Amino acid sequence: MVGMLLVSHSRRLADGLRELIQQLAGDTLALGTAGGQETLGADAGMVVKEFEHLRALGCEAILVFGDLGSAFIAAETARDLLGDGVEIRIVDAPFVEGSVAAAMALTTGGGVDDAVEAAQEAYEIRKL
Amino acid sequence: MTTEQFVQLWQCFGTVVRAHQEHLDDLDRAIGDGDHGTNLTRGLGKMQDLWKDPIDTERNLADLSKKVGMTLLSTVGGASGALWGSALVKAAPVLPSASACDDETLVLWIETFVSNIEERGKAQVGDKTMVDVMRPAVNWLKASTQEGSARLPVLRELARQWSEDTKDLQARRGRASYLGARSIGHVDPGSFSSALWWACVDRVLGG
Repeated sequence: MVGMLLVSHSRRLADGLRELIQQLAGDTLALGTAGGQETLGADAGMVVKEFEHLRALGCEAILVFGDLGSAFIAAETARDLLGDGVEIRIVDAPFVEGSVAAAMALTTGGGVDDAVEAAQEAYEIRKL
Repeated sequence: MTTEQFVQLWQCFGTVVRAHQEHLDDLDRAIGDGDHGTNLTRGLGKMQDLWKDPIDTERNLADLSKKVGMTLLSTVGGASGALWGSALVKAAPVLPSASACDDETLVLWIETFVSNIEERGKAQVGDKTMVDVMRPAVNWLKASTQEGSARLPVLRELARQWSEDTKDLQARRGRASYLGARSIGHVDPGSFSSALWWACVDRVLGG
């Protein structure tokens, strides 16, 4: 199973995005959020905890999406701390559009690579 | 460096960061999210629990570097915690599992964690980040240690100056980079706290 983790400085931002993804892609996806627990910010400890949670749910791979730069620093650090056993792919994509596109790809039968590709393509889609 | 000095170094850093907490927050408020001082103070304060560890005799430098790193990783939100923390964890194996190391190893430890900060933050000198202090400082330390005399009080002043010099730079990494040219005219808060760290290196190891 492929899971997804949304890393955000803001708990509400991540929760809102999860809600949106679940509405669009259904709630069968293993989808976690990390960050913004007490104050705004995301640290590696929070991300490790969510990685472990998703792994316990049976995820062999986890796609990670982040909002601003330091969410990615936290995610990369957490990946180092986690060790082996689960493939962590940190995706360079717009937080909202990218994670939605990846979720759609995963829930319509796509694999890790399809989802990453869909997420990255989101950079090319103009809104107006 | 002994384990005692290692502990003193981080206690010193905690104390001076707390003393400059508001100034660091102010610097961060100008070009970031205004919590650099608060964040670092919280993380370094949490470290007090580490020093209470009663099994003093089992303390060793490698283990301490890892523990300090892990504490920063899980208590300092934002980039600075992950950068300091992961760099210290990664540099830990450079230190011996013993209660002291020679100067050469000390320099190698600092060099390793500075390289890790650069790598993780994808930042170089000139990007208006902590690297603008850490990189030249470790290079200076390396060169002067090879010559046989690391004049740490000089380095402390240089570090302060390098931090001050970030004022003229435009940020290319971190939150401040979103400001573009408007980031010019403000000292980078990460460079300022880094200079405080070098002041502690002087205070603890300069004697």
